[in-house]
Amino acid sequence: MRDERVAELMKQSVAGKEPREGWEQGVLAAAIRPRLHSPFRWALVAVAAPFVLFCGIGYYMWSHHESEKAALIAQRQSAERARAFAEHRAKELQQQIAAIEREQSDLEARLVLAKTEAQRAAIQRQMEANKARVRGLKDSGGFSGGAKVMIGGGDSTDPLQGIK
Amino acid sequence: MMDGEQEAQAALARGDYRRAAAILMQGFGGDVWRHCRLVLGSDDLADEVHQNVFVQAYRDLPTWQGRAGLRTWLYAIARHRCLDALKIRRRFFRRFVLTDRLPEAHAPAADPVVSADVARVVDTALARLRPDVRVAVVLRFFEDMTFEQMAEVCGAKPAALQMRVARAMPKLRAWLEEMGVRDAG
Repeated sequence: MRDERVAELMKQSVAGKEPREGWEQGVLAAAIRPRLHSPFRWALVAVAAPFVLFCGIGYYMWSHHESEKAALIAQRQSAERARAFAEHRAKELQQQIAAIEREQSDLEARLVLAKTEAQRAAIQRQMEANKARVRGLKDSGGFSGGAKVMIGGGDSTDPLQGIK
Repeated sequence: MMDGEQEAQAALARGDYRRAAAILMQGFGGDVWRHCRLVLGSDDLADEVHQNVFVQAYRDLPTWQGRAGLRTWLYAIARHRCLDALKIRRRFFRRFVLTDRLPEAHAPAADPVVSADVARVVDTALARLRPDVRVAVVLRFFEDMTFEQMAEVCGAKPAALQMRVARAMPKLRAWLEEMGVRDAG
């Protein structure tokens, strides 16, 4: 079969066929219809655009708040740990000082009972050494009657920094 | 004496889109409908797609660039709308008829076809071609377009379209012969 025969068959198959009557009016009506609906589209845009905008701002604010909250919790936990460590250290120092003071009382009793000058001098040297140890422990900063906690930069003017 | 395309272009140049659309509908309405009818194989679907083609053309006339002729531009729109319609119809058959193939319209005829059966036979044979190949065959043999014109409509290279048509024709001829079609004379 020749290609011309195929073309002829195609033409023959739709020969005399036409689109339905009045289709032009249908096209014009359908083409113009969306213009009548355009106010609804604008109304939809007017509602949807602020909604999307507010949702975006809301999400930004919420996520910002969440990150601030997480940072604050982390800071509080860090301060708690530092405070517990300082209290433990202060307690240890107090125990050491109490032990030295007990030893000091024993030395005072031995000083009263000492019979020779050499014994007295040795006991007094030991007492002086004990006093120096107590001073050293107090000056080391661990014993100040309460815990000192510093978080972050030391140059802040915020008196509550680190213990919020 | 101006032809339809020149008249429509003159109306477009004046900014009279409604007049240009009317001239296009009058000048090419029948041809585009028959093209859609051959590609789609159904009068009702061709009516629907044909209307959509001209609705889109009417809306897009202000943006027509003039790179291709108005006729070619119309056929390009028709090609897109026909392929969309075929895709939708195929999806429908897959979902509700549970088969990948469109219904084979009719069994091969034992006797040579008479003219009343021509439309049915051509529809059946064309329906077995892939949609894009079917469009190319119809443009080539029904619209008598050159491969360069077809390239503007289909957005493909002329050589590719030539190959597409050349591969399709032996199959199409064989299917037509199976259904009893012979060379005239």
